[in-house]
Amino acid sequence: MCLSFIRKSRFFISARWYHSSAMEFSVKVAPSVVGAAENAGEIRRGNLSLTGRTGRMCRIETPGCFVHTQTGSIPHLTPDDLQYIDPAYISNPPPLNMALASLSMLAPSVEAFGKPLSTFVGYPDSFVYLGLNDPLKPPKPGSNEKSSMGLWNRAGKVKVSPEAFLDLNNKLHPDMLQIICDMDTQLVGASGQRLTKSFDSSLSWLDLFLKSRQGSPVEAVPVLATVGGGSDPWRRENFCKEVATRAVDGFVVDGFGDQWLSRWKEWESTGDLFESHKDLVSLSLRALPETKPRFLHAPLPPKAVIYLVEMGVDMFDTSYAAALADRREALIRTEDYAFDVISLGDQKYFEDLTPLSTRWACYTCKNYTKAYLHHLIHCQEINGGVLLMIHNLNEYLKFFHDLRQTIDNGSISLWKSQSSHVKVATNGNGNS
Amino acid sequence: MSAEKFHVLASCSTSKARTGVLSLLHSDVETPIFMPVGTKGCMKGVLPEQLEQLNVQILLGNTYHLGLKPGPELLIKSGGLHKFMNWKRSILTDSGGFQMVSLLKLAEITEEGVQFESTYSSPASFASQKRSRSKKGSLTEPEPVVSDDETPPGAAKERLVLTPEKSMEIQNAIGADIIMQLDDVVSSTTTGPRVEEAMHRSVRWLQRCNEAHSRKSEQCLFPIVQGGLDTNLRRECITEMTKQQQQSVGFAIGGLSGGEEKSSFWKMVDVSTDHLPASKPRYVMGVGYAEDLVVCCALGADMFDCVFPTRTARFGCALVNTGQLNLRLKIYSKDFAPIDPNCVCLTCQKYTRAYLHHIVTDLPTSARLMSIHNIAYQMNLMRQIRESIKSGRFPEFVLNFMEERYPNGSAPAWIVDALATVNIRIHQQKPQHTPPHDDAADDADVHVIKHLKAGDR
Repeated sequence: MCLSFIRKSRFFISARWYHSSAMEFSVKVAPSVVGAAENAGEIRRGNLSLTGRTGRMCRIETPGCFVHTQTGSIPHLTPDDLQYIDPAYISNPPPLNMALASLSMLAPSVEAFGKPLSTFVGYPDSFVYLGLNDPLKPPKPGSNEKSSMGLWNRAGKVKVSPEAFLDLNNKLHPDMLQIICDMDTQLVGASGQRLTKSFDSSLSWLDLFLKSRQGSPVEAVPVLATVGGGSDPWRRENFCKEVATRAVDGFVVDGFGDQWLSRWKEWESTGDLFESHKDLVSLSLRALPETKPRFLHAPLPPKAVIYLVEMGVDMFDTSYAAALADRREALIRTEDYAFDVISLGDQKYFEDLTPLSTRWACYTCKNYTKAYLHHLIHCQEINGGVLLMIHNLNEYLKFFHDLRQTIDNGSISLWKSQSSHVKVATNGNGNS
Repeated sequence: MSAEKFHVLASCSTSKARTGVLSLLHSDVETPIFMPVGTKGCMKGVLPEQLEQLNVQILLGNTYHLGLKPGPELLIKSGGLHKFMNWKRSILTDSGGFQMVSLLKLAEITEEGVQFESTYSSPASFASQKRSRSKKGSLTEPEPVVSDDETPPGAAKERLVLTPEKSMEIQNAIGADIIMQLDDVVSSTTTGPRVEEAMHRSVRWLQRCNEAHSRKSEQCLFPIVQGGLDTNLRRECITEMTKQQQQSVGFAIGGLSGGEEKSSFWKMVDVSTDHLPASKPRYVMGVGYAEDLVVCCALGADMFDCVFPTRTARFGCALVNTGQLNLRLKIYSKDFAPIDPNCVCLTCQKYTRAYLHHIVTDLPTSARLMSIHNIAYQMNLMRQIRESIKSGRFPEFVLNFMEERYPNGSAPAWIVDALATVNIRIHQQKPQHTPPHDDAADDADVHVIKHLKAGDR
């Protein structure tokens, strides 16, 4: 009690505020309580207010997340399923994170449609943030060229030059966008030449876009710059310092190549891969202005989210919930501050007539047993993914909600103590 | 159970069409009704609450699939299929015989039942005559093989048999409101003494089913009229079955929709509805094309099921009054109309053909949206049929429907003939030109319809 009171009292020593025409971000910053002293960042707690092109306001508490989509739809769900997502955890309509990679296919249709992108994809009142890649589909190495970024969708590769990028965004007209970046830099094995090229191309594309969007339909849309730099500390830091001087509204930390995304499963069980690159993320974040929001997109288990929040990341996405549903797995809150992941295809659930979770009941937990989910998965039914997605999305969003609460009362370290239990449990139940 | 479960509310004064209410344990069912097929304990891609919203009143489950996975024991432990799958309204299960004959090429039918070789690894539910032929494989391992049912992997082969008693045992465990007798299914294109044998055997198996049926106060057992494409056999079958099962709540008309000529199909429905008791609902199995539904209703049928509407949905085809739209075609990429401007389903309220074009067959969400629309289409069609019968405008409805579907008198002869027998005369002309309202899209659709019909039912 006493300790937490002291923590609380020295918390939030400073408040920062940023605003542009369509974005307002206020954030309270305090030194991180936990973590290695040298790399310790800051705990940030804030409010992000966004105004969409239709004039509708969207408020997101940070640390928080956008809802991840694929080709404009929330994976597995139909829009009416949102009634099963607890409104206490996310604003309704939910802010959506889409990927230019898949949406580039839709651009001619959306342009001809004449109404907002959100209406086209069936979520008319949602705020749409157009990122570059789907966090579940890592960029392919070697896709970028000197004057274009390579994005992949089901029709193949789309070469996106700075001009094509502006054109696509003008057609799709999102409410917020991530600017292209030559972030094809592997964490391991990227040559100095590649890193230099990436650095130069990224900056020139950024400047070209910022200049060319003047007078275009997306002139007033909030923009996020992607900060890369690969595995080179000097370039990471300097790239951020450069970008920080540009007229952008926030930052996406990336430039870790496909390894960053494809090996996320490793962090989940060991945390090791993550540890070794913690410094790089930290370098980027410390070089960024504190007033603007920082985004990071990957299918992140709660443990990784906590690490990143402690380093100063503000915004994430819900791709982890979909990744688990795709793998027929459920995120389970085992203790107040600990999670487990269970694989519903496992034979041990064949006759298990209990719900996924008894701690609180989402739609799936209220109406279905593990045995039923196991049955659906064995029959390869679409509904198996649907029910798991509803559950996982609720668990994940509730995690963010609870995480914010622990930050507010200065007890974020609680997550640390119990997540070590999970490591053992996760390794023990044979998920791989 | 008594016959008072079905009440005819109104009958068409011109045709044999009627509308009524069938009171089942879990819900009332308004007839004529279409039953979507939720094969393995769920309607693929549609949640139970969404089905309720679409006014689905009764869902079909397949005994063959449910008997294998999850199996009757787990279903009993779960409190029946309704609880297991979170569906509060009515369910009908088939006998399992049809799947056995259609999915398993090695099925052999004897007086005892349907014998077949299974490659499922834990088919305890059918294991009344289990004889292991191979030592290797997963017999000792409880883990079932994950596979598509139609292409089982090389697991241990077992000799299994589905008897009328076994079918009842599994259906009693599933706990559907309506259960079907095990019938001797022969292909509707088969001719000769085998058809007659199958009809008589179905009559005998009905008796065995009735004796084995252990939940008579909760579940209604429907006999299935067989007799191939032979009017006399059909009549004989009905005479035998109605004599044997006077307490039956309803009757099914089986052995049709298997690739026979449409001219034979409607005549079999017609003769069956002529001879089945008017006070009981008649279920024509495997019918789901809109024009077939309208004709069968005119001939006095009350219940239908078919996988077509939902299967074609998952392939990207949307049902509309004029036929169907294959949304995979590029021409829809800038078509900003909903699938059907008059449809009130979620899909038509929220989505354009253009967006659906981009996601069909790619995202699970698209299979869901398409299924929702196609079920809505079927439900809406049946509702219009019921309402037109109630208001005495059924013949008018049929004429309008056929004119929209087959403009300028292009309706096929079998429809003209079938409707003429029930005094609905539709305008028919020799088609001289391509119908003017059609565009390139519909030509391409015809191709898809042919393609899909091959794998239908």
